[in-house]
Amino acid sequence: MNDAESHDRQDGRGPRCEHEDRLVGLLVDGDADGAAADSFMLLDHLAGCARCAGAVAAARRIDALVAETTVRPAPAAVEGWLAAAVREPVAPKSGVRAEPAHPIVEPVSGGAGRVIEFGAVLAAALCVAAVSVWLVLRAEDRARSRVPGPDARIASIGASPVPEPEPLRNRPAVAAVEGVADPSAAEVADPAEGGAVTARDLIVLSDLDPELLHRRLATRSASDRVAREQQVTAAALLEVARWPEADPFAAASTALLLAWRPPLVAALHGWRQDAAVAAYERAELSTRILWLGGEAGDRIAQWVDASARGDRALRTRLAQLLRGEPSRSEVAAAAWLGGAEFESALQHVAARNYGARWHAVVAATRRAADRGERGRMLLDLVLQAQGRDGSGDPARSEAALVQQVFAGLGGQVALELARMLPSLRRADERRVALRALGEFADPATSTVLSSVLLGPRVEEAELAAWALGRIAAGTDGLADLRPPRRRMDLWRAALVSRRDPLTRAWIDAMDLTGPERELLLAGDFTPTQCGVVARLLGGLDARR
Amino acid sequence: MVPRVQADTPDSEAERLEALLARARAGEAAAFQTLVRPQVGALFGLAQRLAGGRREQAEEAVQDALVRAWRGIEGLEAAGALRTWLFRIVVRCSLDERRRRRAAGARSAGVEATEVPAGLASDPSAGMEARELRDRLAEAMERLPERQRMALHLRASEGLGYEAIGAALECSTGAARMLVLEARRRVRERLGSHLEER
Repeated sequence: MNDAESHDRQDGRGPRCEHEDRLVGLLVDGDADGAAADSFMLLDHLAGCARCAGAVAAARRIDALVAETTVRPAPAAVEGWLAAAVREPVAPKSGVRAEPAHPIVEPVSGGAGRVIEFGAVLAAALCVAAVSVWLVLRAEDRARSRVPGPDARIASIGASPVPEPEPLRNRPAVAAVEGVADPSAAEVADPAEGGAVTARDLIVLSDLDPELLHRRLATRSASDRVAREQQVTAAALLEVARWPEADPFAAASTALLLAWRPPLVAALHGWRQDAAVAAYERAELSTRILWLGGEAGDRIAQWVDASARGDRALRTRLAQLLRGEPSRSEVAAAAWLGGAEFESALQHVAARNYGARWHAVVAATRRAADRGERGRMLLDLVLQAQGRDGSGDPARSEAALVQQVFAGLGGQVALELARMLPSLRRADERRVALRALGEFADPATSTVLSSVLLGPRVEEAELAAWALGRIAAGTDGLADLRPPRRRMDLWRAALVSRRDPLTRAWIDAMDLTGPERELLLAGDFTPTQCGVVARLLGGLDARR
Repeated sequence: MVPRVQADTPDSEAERLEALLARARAGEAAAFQTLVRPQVGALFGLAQRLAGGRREQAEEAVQDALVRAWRGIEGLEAAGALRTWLFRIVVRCSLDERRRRRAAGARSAGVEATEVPAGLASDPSAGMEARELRDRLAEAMERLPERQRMALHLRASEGLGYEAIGAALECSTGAARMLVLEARRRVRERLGSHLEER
């Protein structure tokens, strides 16, 4: 062994000992890449080589630090990601079960808007800290006249007993927010500990150490303890935001904080919506509102849109963001707003093939399904996503997409699509609309579907028959109509699909094999089955 | 007599995982979730490291990786290879994401914030030295080439051996070894005297 190396520096920049790597591998990584005898020689070398000893110690320390600074997600987040992953429809696996196809080949997300959101978090933390300073100064003025109380303390922050606060002037009673008579009884349930945040907790917030508060807010720790403390802070900020003298600074902080922690805010019951909107209106936060990410950003965009007069600044800012690299929440907000913003969002997700954003747009559009024109928007989303799932089966892809986008909707969207259907010029638009109407199974669409069934295009007639077949028997009078001369077989197939009582006699009169009879009796056909059944029923009159 | 509950042996655990994998391959979402759930924390840790501490970016990468894993579960041959397979997907997703963000320009340059590990920052008593060490470590890790950073993280945080690191990073065992050692060397250079135990 050559121990004559110069080991005068311990920071890794000096000459290295030739055995460093092997010793670190052996002692830190358990990598014995040589014979046992060689390992013993290395260990023997270590005893006399400060350089190697330093390298081993440093490697251990570095590993420990790296492990210590590794961030783990909260269990709830893990469950959310797992649920979202399997919610993504996939192509059938091993032929065992047919899953809807995935709409976008490359689900990629993570726009820079998220970064801005994070900036907003820091901004919120700074604002909160500053508000706290302001509160401390405010409290100091008042402390001179206070009489110390016996047990006043912040419930969970662990502060020492503080003076009993005097009622604050110039602020509405907490009861006004909570709708209860006694301000001290106003409380927010704490799901983590079963406790409550009371109005008293809010009032003594002024005794918080601003630096501590700042650090805690910046940490975004998911621990229950910290979450509870933040809950107190959020509640207090909501209160502060309502004081006239706090405007607009505290209001801005409040809105950002509210948006920052949706689960936290969710624990604040009825406070969140009116306070957030009020804060927005008072602080003119329209250009900041889009910093906010995820569900919160989307929700606040909804509130703003619903309450704040169709804000032009918001739309302008959104348009700017959509021209760049919008985040998922930004495209979702755009989808919620509709109009030109939706068009931009759609172009963005289509051009970039962003699966996650596509889902965000779909989700936001679905949530706003009662706002009108959503049927057209959802139709466009399906059309944009078609052919991108790599399944190689356009029909299955289309069916899966329609189910994914339209399932569970109905009502206004169904009527909108039904109204729109006759004027749709492209075949793929009409096909998707028919599939969607089939998903809705709304008797109110029966007339339009019947006209398509009798129309000139066979493929669309079959889809219309399928859609009619999904509507519950006896809800639309289809069975009472005089049998049409044109496409009578498809009309019958629709009724058989519904298992309308009228059809039992037809089935009994037919010369069917066992599986054919079983198929007809089961009903609830797919579009393909509907065509097959129609052909079977074609021989009905001849047999009779 | 009270019946004895037989503890899971390695074999029975392996069989359980293989059975879960078979069910996941058949399209059973719950089996996929059960199989993958224990690994998600580690996936996030790696993604977070690759994202330079940017939590949102890491979340996106993990979400995308899980979607890809679910869609590609048929490509996983054995449950024993699950962990490195998932790491490989996260690495790809993270690098894709980074490339895309670079290509997209720096619309939000200057406003990204680094996630502060809860263990360090939520402790009010954390001193200046600890914070400085944390900051220097974050900086040193950030400056490492991506593959070195991943290799060191997988070794130090996840306890992977060189062979598994090689599998995750799609390189040889020897190359993985060199990545880990070189990463440590560079971090040590940057941390200097701050590395000494106090």
